[in-house]
Amino acid sequence: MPRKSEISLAAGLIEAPSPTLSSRIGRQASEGAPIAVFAALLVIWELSCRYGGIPRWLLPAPTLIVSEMWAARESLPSHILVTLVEVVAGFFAAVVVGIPLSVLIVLSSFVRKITYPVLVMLQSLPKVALAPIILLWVGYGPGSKVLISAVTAFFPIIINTTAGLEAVPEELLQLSRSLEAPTLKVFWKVRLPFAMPYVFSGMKVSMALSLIGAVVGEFVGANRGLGYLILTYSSTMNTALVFGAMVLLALMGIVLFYVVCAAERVFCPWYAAGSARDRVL
Amino acid sequence: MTPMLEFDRVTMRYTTQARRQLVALQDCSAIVYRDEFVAIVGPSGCGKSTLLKIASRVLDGTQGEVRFEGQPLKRPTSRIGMVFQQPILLPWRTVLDNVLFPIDMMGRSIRDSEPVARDLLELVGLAGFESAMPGELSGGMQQRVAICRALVYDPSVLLMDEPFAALDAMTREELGMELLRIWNERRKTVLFVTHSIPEAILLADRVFVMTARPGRIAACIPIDLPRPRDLSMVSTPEYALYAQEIRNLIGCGTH
Repeated sequence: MPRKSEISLAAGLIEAPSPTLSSRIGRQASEGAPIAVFAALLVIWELSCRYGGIPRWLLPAPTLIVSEMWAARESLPSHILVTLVEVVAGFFAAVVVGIPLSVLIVLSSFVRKITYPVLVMLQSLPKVALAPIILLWVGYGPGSKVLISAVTAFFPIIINTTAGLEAVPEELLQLSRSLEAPTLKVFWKVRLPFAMPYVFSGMKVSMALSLIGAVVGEFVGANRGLGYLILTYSSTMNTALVFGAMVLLALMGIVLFYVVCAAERVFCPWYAAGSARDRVL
Repeated sequence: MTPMLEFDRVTMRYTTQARRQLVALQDCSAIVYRDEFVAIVGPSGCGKSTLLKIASRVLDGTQGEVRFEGQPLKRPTSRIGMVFQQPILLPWRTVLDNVLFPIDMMGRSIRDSEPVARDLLELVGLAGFESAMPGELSGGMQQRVAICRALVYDPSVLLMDEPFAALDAMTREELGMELLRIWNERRKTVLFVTHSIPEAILLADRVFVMTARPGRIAACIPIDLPRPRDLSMVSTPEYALYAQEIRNLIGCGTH
């Protein structure tokens, strides 16, 4: 028996460094794995298009998508810009209207009573269904897309901001009252900062939704923008550029999402730091 | 002895959702004297926190009156400070700015109070943590910051609602002793709610014993243990007698 334990002890000593090494390899593998899988999928896609006899109007190869996008490099930027402006303007409109409205809802039960039924009704209505009417009212230009985008992005802002403003611990409000602090001051120094992390998580959802809204608007009626491109190119069977526009929309969505994340880190660093720590743990 | 805080037949009734009348507090009368340390003990649900909320006027009693320095207390006042079970610090402010929060809210000069805040932090052993964020502190340290926050504007009365209940036993004893030291240095009238009988005896000049349903103050027991107190007193026979007396009053020592 002592022999065996000696052996296992020795084996343990020899093997001791190896778990850390293997865990390091494991970590690198877990970081590299998504990229490898993505690259493999692209290769399979490319090969099956080239040698699998898939017609290019059904599924264009990745290289074809890139080359078609390159060929259209003169016209694409202006369409990107149109959609980007619509998305950002729609998002900001949702924020600029949504946050003050949430504040009113939280501060006044009267405003809450009159706005809630309307909000619930609008919320349960699919925003896509509103698009034709908005187009009819606002017109064919970018204004209607901004509005559709804003309406689509509006609700997460309202819901999260309201929830955040109401999440302030009751004791903190009691303390503020005992200090005889003016209501407005309590609002600026306690309620609003407390709500900021909630507002930002609402904004992250809203940013994605405002992109959807803008594209829906362009689908319903437009002569510019990436949504418009998807519609026209698919009707002319230029599938490669349909995919190209989709890639651009996806990139735009990712970039805008990270812009919101960066803003969150600037405006509520205490929260971003905390959540980053949680993620590490 | 001048009365600081008087409860005059304070009664609190709730109507539950099932339309039943619930009496949280029934004719609670008691006097807390200036610079006295009073602990309120009682079983959970006896309304001790409710009594504290009524004392701070963040809650209105159904009947009865609270008098502060002889005058009826109608509204919350900055002459009464509060410490809660949770520290509830503002996570975006540094420790120092959290301590200065009341000064900020009251619109007083932060610059004038900053030395006071620093002294208080030193008093509770948090010197050097002024610019730390609350999230970086342990629960006990956060509660120390909350105590500093309650003291920085120098209220005459301190209402403490189970301030150490969320802490582990050792931190709890440590903070209790620290509170006594602070109380000794800057005399205050303290009203301290706890569900720990040992803690109440160790800290207080008098213990208000409450019974549940309806919540009443069953007795006010003066604790004649010498001061300064320390943890070794827990093993004295007098201490055990007080504990037994309070347990009997609450009705949990008989079985």
